[in-house]
Amino acid sequence: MGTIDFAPLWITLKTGIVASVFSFFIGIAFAELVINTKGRVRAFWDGLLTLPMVLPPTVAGYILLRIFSTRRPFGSFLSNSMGIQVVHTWLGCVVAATIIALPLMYRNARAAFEQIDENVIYAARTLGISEWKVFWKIRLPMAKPGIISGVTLAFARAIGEYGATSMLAGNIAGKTSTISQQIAMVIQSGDYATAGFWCIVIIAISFACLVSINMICGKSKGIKRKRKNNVAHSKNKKTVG
Amino acid sequence: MSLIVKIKKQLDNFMLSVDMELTDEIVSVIGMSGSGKSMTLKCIAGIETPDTGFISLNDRVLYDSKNRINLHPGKRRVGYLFQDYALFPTMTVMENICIAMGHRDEKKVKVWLKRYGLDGMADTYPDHLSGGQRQRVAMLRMLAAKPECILLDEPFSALDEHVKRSMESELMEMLSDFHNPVIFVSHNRDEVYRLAERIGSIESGMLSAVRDKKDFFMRPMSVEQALLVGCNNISQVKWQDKHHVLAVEWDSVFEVTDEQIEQLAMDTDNISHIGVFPQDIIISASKAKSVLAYNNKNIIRIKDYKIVEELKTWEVSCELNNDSTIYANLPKHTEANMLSKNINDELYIKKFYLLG
Repeated sequence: MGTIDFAPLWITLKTGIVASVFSFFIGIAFAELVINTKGRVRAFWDGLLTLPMVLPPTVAGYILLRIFSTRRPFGSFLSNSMGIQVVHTWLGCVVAATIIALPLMYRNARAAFEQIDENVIYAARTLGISEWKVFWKIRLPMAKPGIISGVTLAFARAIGEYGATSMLAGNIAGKTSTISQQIAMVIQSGDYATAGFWCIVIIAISFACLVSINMICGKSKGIKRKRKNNVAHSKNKKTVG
Repeated sequence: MSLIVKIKKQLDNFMLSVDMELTDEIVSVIGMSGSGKSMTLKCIAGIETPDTGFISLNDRVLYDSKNRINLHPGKRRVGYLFQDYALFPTMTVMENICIAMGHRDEKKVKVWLKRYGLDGMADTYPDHLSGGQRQRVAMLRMLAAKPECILLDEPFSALDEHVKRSMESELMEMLSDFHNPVIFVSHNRDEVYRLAERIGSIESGMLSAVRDKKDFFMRPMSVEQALLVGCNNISQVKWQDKHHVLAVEWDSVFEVTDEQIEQLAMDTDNISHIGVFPQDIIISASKAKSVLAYNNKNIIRIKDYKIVEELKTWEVSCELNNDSTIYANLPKHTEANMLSKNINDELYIKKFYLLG
């Protein structure tokens, strides 16, 4: 096994954190967009945003490579005009992990927003509370448990990303070599001990994430219970008025 | 102080059509489930948009389809009390009220909380409040936004009877300082009678003329209103001449007085039904002379009857020869021997209402 270089751990954690921050904002923004659209447009966006969850990561990686390659219009624009290189850089890790983790964030956020009793939002509007405040002070706090589990799942997914990352960012030691890529590499050279060590690290982090989701959601029971009430009430409403 | 609502909106099953004017008074809209009551309130509050029409509050135009005016709900100054109160669950009582004030004036809010028995509840979350406390917080939150009109959407319908009465009086107390229009929507006639000054009924989206509550309950004018106020014996009619109608289902002739015709708000041609309150049916144990004296008019012949004991009355359900049923009430103090004996096969109708 020899001495272990911990660079892959830091790269993985950094990638995971930045990717979950990105998917947090992008996921919420798209959740809002989809909630406010109807019919075919809604189905289109929902399908597109969920696609990375079901596609083979290599397919996502291929598409990202085609978009960000410096030989293609968008990639060359980024690199020439803005000095941003995505392919074979750490940024590539982040982009790949964000895209793959996004559906988890988006779907959780959407479900959390959709569960909010619409009367609460109507009440807020009739009280003259601005849309900005309605979002930040009422809807977001009410959707908090769902959003937290979305971010945590997105983080857990992002740190385990392999397929798209290896295609877009490659496996450059100390730069883009994440734990999952490291595992694949050391196994090829027959170093099962090191591979096993990294596997345990990944399992430990992912498991900790899943356990913490449960604990956080347990704590905010109050909000969850309240929501169930609201659902019951809104059902009442339909039958009564 | 006035609220004018003249709107139309096409809904899934019917056309909502509301035309009402309020001053600073409590007007109630009574109607069955899904009759368009809540939709009316939502249109006034700006949560839903009518197809055409006009809404104004104290000379401010809230909605005008002709001039393409449609004020955002937040700019209308219309308070809306939801059935489930719709408090913000992630905020304390204090925060719930302050966010509606637009600024944080804790001192003022504490005075209000004290006044309405919510002392020491400032930092409590809505989850930990009782139903009554929630209602008071929701009212305070609504009043904190300084509305010029209040809409109450079935605030008591999910409550037990004994809780309901105390919450009703609390609500009325809080509204006693509010000198602006209030619309109270409900499907419960007792509630409506206690709280409102004037009442309109709504059926399949059509709002009737708003009338004084006594008049509304004593003198139903349409089949829907009759059913809503408990006048539940209804029959179709055919005019025989100017003063006589034939109740088709009951196969009997009723005499219409000039006074009744004068009081009608519509043409006699539009009268399609008559209605009789159960308490206006006289049942006698024998062929009393007074009944016979009525010359076979306003009398219904029955084939069979059944007596059921209700809480406050005996309910007599009478079967007619053509199998239709008429319900009559006998007061509880009716002697038992009369109930046991065979009652006369002729019912005398003391009072009936012409319905359009």
